[in-house]
Amino acid sequence: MALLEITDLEVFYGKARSLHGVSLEVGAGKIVAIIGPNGAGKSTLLDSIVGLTKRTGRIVFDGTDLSRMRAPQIVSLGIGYAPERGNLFPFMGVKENLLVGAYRARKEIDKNLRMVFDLFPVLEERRNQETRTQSGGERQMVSLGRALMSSPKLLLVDEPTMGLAPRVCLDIAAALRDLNARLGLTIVITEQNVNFAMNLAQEVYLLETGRIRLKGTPDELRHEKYIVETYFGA
Amino acid sequence: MLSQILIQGFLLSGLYGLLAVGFTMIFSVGRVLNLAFGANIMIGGYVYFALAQEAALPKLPSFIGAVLAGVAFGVVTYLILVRRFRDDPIAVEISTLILAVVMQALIVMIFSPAPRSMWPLLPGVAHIYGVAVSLNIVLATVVSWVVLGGLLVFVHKTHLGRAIRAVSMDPKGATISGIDPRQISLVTWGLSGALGAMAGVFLATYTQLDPGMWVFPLITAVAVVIVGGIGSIIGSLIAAHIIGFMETITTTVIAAELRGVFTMLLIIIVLLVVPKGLFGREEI
Repeated sequence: MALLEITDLEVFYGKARSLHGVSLEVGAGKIVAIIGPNGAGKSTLLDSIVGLTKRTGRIVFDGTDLSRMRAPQIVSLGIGYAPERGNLFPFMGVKENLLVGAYRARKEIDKNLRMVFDLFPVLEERRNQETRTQSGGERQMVSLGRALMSSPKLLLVDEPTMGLAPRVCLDIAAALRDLNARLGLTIVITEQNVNFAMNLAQEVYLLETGRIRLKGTPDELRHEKYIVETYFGA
Repeated sequence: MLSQILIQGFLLSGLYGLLAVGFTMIFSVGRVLNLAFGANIMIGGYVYFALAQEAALPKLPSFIGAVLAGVAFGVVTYLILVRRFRDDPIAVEISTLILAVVMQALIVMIFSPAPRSMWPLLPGVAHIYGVAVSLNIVLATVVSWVVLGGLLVFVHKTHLGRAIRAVSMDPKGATISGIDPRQISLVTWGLSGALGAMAGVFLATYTQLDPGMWVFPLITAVAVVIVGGIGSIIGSLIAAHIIGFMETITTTVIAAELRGVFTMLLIIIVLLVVPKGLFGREEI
């Protein structure tokens, strides 16, 4: 059963159309990757799911139509979002950033804080460090942790490996796999790093110039001529 | 003379801190300058006057009434005016300035343009290290610091306070954490209104009630937040002390007429040398 269903999603920034009739489904408990080049509309797609854009079309999450809902209400339904730039609170410490993420899930603060610190032990060690002084990898962990503090059923992660060292990318991938396998968390990631996305996801969509161009399992797309030529350079 | 400067400077700084924090909270959360903040000051003073002196109500309920009037004015200003212009800071600044002028005209119509004397909140004089200080000013300072201390605890230790700081640092990050920036703005305008009205009562009992009483405190609030760094509560409190002590030294040692001149010079120097302010960071 689909946890998230998007039908004919269109997003405009002024007169420029950023997404052209995008439709996709995300099954409960799956990891789905949206791959595509810079400017394809991947971040816009995730922003639209959480209500940060003016959009038309239909977005249904867990049986609830999100089309007319505002972002704070959508988050409280159980969608956590770790955006590309983190959008952390730079003059707050790690723990305070995480506590803000629990704004709509205050009864579960202790449990979720423990879960985040178990997932990323370095964050517990640096719980009082202001996030503006942290490395890119640590900030990505705080961003993921903050999204997890809202007790989400669906986790949206925008470009989790952007600008990170390979070792940190592996840690992030391991954490996402763990969340999916252990907690059954449904995850949607966007990525330019096609290898990373294909190794992590069970289903992949290729988004280009605001349109879904291809979809399939990683195995299917690895043999797709267009993907091979364009993204693997073969 | 030194003890006089120290005591007067400290007392004045508490009041300036109240003014500056009320003013800077709005900017920090909404990225707009609330030029109607002066009207909050005026409303606080006149509502207290109407309740305590004209209606002869006890002082504490009158004070609470004045603060609630400030909250109501802040909230209504946000709902009716600011929310509609939220993507246009210039429109907010012009419209809030116009609102302050309209409120001044209303006050003149209701209370007449003549200055009014206010009874002190607490009559009497205290002698601190040989310096005679009115108990009214001591009370105003103590209440200001209690309120400012409570506000710091509120913004650092409560979910709502943390949400206010989160919106001030990154509105998108706050929104995707389930915080509604519009609700936070509403709370902030109400809080700012309360601080402004409180400062208005203290100022009016410290000097006198006058329909033009909003202009100088507004300029002082702008000065303090520019020097301290727009958006920083701690920076504003430190700057409030710098300006409070500077004005006290000028008044005591040089000439009372030059009090505001040195403040303006300090603003210009800060804008030239450290445009973000001495403790500039865009957050509460």
